[in-house]
Amino acid sequence: MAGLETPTEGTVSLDPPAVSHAGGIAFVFQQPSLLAWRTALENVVLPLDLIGRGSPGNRRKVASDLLKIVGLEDAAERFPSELSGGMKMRVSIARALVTDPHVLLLDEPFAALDDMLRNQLGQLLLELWERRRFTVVMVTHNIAESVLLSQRIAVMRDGGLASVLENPLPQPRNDDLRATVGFGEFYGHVSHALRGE
Amino acid sequence: MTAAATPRLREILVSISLVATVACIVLGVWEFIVWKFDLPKALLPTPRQCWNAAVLERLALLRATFSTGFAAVSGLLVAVVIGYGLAVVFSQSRSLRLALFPYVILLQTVPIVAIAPLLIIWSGYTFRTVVIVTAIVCLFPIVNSVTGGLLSTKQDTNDLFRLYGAGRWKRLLHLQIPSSVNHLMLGTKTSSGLAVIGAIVAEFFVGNSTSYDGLGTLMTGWTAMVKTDALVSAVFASAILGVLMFGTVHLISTVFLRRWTQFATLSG
Repeated sequence: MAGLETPTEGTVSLDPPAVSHAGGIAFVFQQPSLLAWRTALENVVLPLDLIGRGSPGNRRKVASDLLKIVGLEDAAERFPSELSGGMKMRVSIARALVTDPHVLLLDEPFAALDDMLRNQLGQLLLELWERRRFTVVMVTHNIAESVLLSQRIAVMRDGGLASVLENPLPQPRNDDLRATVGFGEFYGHVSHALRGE
Repeated sequence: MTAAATPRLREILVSISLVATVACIVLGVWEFIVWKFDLPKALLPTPRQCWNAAVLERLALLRATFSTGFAAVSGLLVAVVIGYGLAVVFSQSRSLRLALFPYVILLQTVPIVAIAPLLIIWSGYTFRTVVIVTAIVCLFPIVNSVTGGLLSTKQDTNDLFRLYGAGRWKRLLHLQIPSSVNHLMLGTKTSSGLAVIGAIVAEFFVGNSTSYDGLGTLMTGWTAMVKTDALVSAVFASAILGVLMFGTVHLISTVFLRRWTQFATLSG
């Protein structure tokens, strides 16, 4: 979907047609993948530098607003090597959102983090979504994460699509949802679908 | 501050005293051997005789060290500019890389003592010849290291740049060049020692009694006169020059290019 690979068959259609080269699609990788010689702020500015949008001053302003949203305004001038794993991931998310994309692709973004950070960043993602309402496609191996964050879950098994489940849990979401019966029930559904029952 | 600085300072003092101890032992053994076997001064002078010769010839030594240093630095800079340019070309075109890289290796494997006489014929007994020889000696480590650096970007980062439609130029400017600085400095560090060797070898061929005056030409002259003590002092002068150049490159790398060198190795 990011246009990084050509499909083996079929087509990819997006509505509205998000031209990826204009920053319509953003990607968050498993690793933060920050540039070591750029500060946190400069890393967030990068996509704007690459697509050439806005004046340099304006780019920094947009980026620094986003850093504030992800809670890193104090770390703006620090280099990636001076940031913790969770902070780096936040910078990476801010970088993905800086072009104000229609579609955000997340490839197991929190897989390398511990449970606490994973929950914190999931929460951050929910807040960001409440603000901006972009489409998120997230790949995860974590059932609880998918149940908490999604509206629709496509279960993949043996390299193919097994089933698509609508998430009945109410919006807006937050971490307290994990303790509800509804969460547990839907968790069970997804778990079943994953095992192919 | 002091709590953090003290162990570091102690470490430096310990390492200095260890190096000094080794120097004392070596000089002592050297002095002892000369005394014990009653070696003639022309064969092996004592450290003190060498020191006296160095003091006596201090003006010639200083001037020669400066000339050689200037030639070595010039040659190194020429190699950095040409080497970096070549590496950028190699990083952009696979076919050019495949076609030309073997010749860069060839330049490295052909002994410089074989090329130097030719260069003397073409370029004369001049400073320029010394710079050319030095540049040839320094070129390979830089081209090799920088080409590697320009091509060793991570898959994720490459994808990121493609996602935002970055063309060749933006990729080079924002990704490849910044990530190659560390490699450039490593290559230059390796070459900084070679530069002094290259310059002195070239000076051997340029020879003395010409307008050019370097450590190599000085050594050639002193060898002819069997001034062994002065010769040894010239050897030390060239060693000091090499260390100075290495140290300067290291300093530039860690102080002025810190953003690209220090952090790059720790990365996120």
